[in-house]
Amino acid sequence: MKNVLLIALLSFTLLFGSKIETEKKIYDTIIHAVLPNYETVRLWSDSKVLLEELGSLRGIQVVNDVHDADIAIVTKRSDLKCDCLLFVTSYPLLKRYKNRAIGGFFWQKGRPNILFLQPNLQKNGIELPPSMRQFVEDDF
Amino acid sequence: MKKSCAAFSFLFMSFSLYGSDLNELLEVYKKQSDLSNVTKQESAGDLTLFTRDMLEKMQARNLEDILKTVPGIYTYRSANNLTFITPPTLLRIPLTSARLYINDHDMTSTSFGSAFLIWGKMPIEYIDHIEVYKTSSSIEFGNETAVLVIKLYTKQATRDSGNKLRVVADHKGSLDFNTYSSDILDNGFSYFVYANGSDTKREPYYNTYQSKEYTFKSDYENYELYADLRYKSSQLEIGTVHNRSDSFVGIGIHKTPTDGELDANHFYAHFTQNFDYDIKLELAYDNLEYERTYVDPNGIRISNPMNPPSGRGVIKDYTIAFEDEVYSAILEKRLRYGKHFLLLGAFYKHKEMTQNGHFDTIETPKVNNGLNLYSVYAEEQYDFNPTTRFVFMAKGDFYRYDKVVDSADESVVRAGVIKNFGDFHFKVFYTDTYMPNSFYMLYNPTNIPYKSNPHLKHIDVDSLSGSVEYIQEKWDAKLFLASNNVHNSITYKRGYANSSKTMHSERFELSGHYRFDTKNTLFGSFFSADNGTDVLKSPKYGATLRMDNTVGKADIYNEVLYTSSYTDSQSKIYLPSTFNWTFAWKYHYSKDFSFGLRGENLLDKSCNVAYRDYDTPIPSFDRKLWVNLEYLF
Repeated sequence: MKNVLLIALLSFTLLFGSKIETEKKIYDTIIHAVLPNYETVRLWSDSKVLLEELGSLRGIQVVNDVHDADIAIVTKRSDLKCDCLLFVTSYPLLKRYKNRAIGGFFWQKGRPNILFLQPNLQKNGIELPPSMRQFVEDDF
Repeated sequence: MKKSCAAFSFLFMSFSLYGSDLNELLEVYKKQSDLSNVTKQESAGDLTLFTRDMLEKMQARNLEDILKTVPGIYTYRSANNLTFITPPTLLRIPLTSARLYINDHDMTSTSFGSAFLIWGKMPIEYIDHIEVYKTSSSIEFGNETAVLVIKLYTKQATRDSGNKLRVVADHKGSLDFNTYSSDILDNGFSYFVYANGSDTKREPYYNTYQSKEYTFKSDYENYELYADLRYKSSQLEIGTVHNRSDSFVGIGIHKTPTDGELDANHFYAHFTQNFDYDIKLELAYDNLEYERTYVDPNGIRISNPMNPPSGRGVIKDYTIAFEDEVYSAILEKRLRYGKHFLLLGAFYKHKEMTQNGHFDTIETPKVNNGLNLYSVYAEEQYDFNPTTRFVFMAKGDFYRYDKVVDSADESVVRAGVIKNFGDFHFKVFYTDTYMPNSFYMLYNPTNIPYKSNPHLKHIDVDSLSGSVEYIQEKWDAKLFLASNNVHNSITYKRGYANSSKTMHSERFELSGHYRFDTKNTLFGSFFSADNGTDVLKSPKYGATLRMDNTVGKADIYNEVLYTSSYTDSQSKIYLPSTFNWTFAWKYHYSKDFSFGLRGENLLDKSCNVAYRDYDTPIPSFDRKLWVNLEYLF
């Protein structure tokens, strides 16, 4: 039954929803999975577009200074320094931040991918829900 | 009240499931992000779109696999083993009326004015999606004029970084190997490199003449390399292909070939620079070489002015070679202001054609001619209100040949309106255009093996087309109608000449989708045409039924192409109705490895063609079973 409902929801989303809405849902799921106990997550990004999109989500507060953030979503910058969680949006950036980023959401091999790096999750004491463990890898 | 309850339940359901399955969200995101959403142009013509998802489910191997499923046109094998297309009732449309683009590069040759000689069966593993525009003016694509535009968009490093191997083989011994590698480098460069090698075996057919048997062979081989290098706003594409194909029935008087082939090479480079303020500059170079041979011991009829009074001759051995060079520069500027969207563009092309031949004992010398083609064009789209858009386009083309051939100034005008009424979408367009002439028809001082005509005028076409589409959540339906008038059409009777007759044709197409859900879709279309005469050279009615499904880890694709029976007006041969059924099944063993089967023409009833001077129709597509292996790494 759950699958039927899910398919109905996704059909609706595909036909009448937009790519941006789906992207927001993906980030929302990821952010709340890595920071499950935060009522409000402070988010920073080097992409204004992404900040505008995600800032409208419930439970997300956009911050201007990366040092105030709980999580930073990096789309371009390759020299970011902060104590917050780092999540990237491209494969080259994931390689660049291999030792720090908890993961990335990026296109590769013709499909959108989500990848979490186990060593960096461990470093930050993050335990993902069981349904998301399929996206966790030790290396890439 | 019921509707409000349903909406509330749906919202509740959405929240309860929100984010519950990232895999499903990724699947939806992938479909919504299809590159065709960015590239397709609704105002450019009647669009048939093949998304990446569709191409992958079809397990299509080459362009012919795609073109044969386009509603409203038939794809068939010509007597000399080329891929030809035609609307219902006609034998074929002029070679120059269809143009093929890979990204923004026009693949058309100079001599023949068509890309189908070399690219008709091109592999499509490196292609992301395909757009086919019918009744187009092609101005939006900023290049030469055509009424049928086929746009192929390659995969890009931004989405396809990684490597892929694909091997396809059939039960007749064909083998098709594809590989690509793509990456985004730390220094900002990205690349996509593709290679293909294929050897396709086809069913032979036989002809008996004076107790001797002759074989119609149509095997072909293709070897292709493509590279795309990008850095910021710059892109360099380089492609090269070599192909060889048998000459099939050939052009002999009695259709008794003993040898013959087309041997072709095409190299091209295309540089694109996007500047600030929406300015785009493209520079391109093409070099094409092809050699066509026919060997028929019982005679091939050719034009031969040295043989009066008939001006014709009969030979057994025919070789003609062409070499083309094309230099192109295209500059475009896009402007948006208020409700207006304006495209301004200009291009210059210099084309060179060189040809020579060997016909039994006759050697024709190397001759060449050049064409300088200048073009300016503009397109204005005005959003009158949120539901109404007016479109107006105009183009001027100026042909200046190096020698002998008459200069020509041509214009193209297209005007239309796109209007939405609730769930209904209307489009009406009027197009006044022309079809460029093939170089080989215009210039050939020896007049062997055909008699050219340097005073040939371009074929003029005016068309009125309209469509109405009704879109619902689960289904949509579209009715498309077009009426065309063709003036100055070209005939060959002891030489190329324009006909004074105006040809009128009409065609319609009814099509629709039913979406069971995101992964299961049914598509159907029914189409026909009338050429204003009783002449029938291809089926009057056609239909397509396509269904793609996903069951667990398997993709299933079914396609049935129907053509009605008819009696060919030229040969008087009766051709029965056909049902060409293709079935494809692909199993995704993992995200990176999949294998599949594709059965083509399973009922052994594919579209038949009656060739001149041969009394048995021949199917254009073989009954075949392909095995497909794909690995991403």
